[in-house]
Amino acid sequence: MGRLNQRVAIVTQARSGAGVGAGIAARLKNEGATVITVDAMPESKAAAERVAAAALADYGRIDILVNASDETAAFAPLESKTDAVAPDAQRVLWMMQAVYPAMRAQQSGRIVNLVATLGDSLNRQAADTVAASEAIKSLTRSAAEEWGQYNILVNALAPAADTENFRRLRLAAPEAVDALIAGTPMQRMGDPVDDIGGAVMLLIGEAGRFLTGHVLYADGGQHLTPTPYEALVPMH
Amino acid sequence: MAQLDGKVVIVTGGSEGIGFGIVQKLASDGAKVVFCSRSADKGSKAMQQLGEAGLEADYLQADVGVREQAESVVRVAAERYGRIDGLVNNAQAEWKWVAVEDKTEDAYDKALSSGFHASRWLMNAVFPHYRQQGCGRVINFGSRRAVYGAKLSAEYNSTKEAIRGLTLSAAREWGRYNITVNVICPACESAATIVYMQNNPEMAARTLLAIPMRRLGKPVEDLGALVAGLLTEDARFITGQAFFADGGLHLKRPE
Repeated sequence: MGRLNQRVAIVTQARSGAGVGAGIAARLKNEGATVITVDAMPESKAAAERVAAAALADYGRIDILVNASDETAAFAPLESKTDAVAPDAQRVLWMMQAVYPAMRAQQSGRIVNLVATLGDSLNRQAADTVAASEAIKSLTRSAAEEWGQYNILVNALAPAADTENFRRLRLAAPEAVDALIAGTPMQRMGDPVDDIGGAVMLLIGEAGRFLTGHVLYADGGQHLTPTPYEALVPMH
Repeated sequence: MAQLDGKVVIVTGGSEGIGFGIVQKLASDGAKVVFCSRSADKGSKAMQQLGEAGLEADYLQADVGVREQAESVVRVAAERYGRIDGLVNNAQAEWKWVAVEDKTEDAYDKALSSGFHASRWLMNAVFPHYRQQGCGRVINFGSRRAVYGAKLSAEYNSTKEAIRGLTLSAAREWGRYNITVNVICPACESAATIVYMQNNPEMAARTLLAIPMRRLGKPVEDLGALVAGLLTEDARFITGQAFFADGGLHLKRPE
């Protein structure tokens, strides 16, 4: 008997492969949940609503929403950034709005929004990624405050995960990445299923009954340490 | 199989309030709990309640604000069970509502010894066991009041922020030994808050309205469940964190 039997979860940005979203989706399935995976974040409010409507039509409820994103920053100087600021945050808001009526009707729901672990300390050349991440944290707090009365709990999760993107970064800058891991208190990256999935289990399980509006770092303490980003990001 | 089967966990200040809620939850989830408090009377009352609920635990009378007594709790637990998996530093003397400039030496001594010094003495005492085992968990207790400097409780606030600082330092230094160290800042009901709220319904309504979840935490179901979760494999990669177990109250600043 799984811990999440009878529970229905939507995981966005859960492309197959070794990303955080895929790892979390696999973990929730292993624990017995019915998991609806969405490959990418929705490109419109209507698209988000279609995801929620399909889940309700098939399973009758939505207990858990995980907005995963596993985008490694495309490093470039501020003056060259061209995209709109924080489009990912807009998509997270659409997804939260889409599941809200069902969760409110149920008087229960758990939402976990993934954010960047290095958002606080890697500001250089990653302005768009960091802005989106900070906006998602802010949306998380607003939703926690407004929806807590309906027993809808909303938290952000900042992972340090050993994903495909991370392994690509490691190939590109092996010394810097080794220094990052050596400087991490637990001296390793997290497994997407066991470590990051475990942190999600805490937030959506019994342990998380009274936690809302948080940014939880599942990172072996990495957020406390200096980032060797001079070595990761080329100087201009 | 219960989620904490076989785990040995020490809980300080465990005979009433949040501490007793944690003891009950950990025991019912299968842990071998060794808990202590200053008052043997309260301890035997707690043991009686546990027995009536069909739960087992070990009680030790100890004032963890005294170094030898704090260390003896770890010694007894290790001798009895051969290992220690978790330490829950919950004990803390209550504060008196007094202005900063009027706080006494005694007030600071009591706050610091029962909270901060006790936490570090116990952490240092479990550390050799954790290192030898290759794993261990520490869960300390801080306070949202302290994070934001709430009025008239300076000795308590200072102590709680010292505990949070100790938590971060230990998390960074002990992570390499697979030891995690976290701190919980709770908003929880107690016998005193229940009576107060019954007698002051308007004030109670205002208090609850400030909490996004519109309720206070429950010692067993909320705080106990969080501590239990932090002792499981789910939390093995989480360290150096403050958990505001308060239904979202931390999003607002205290008076």
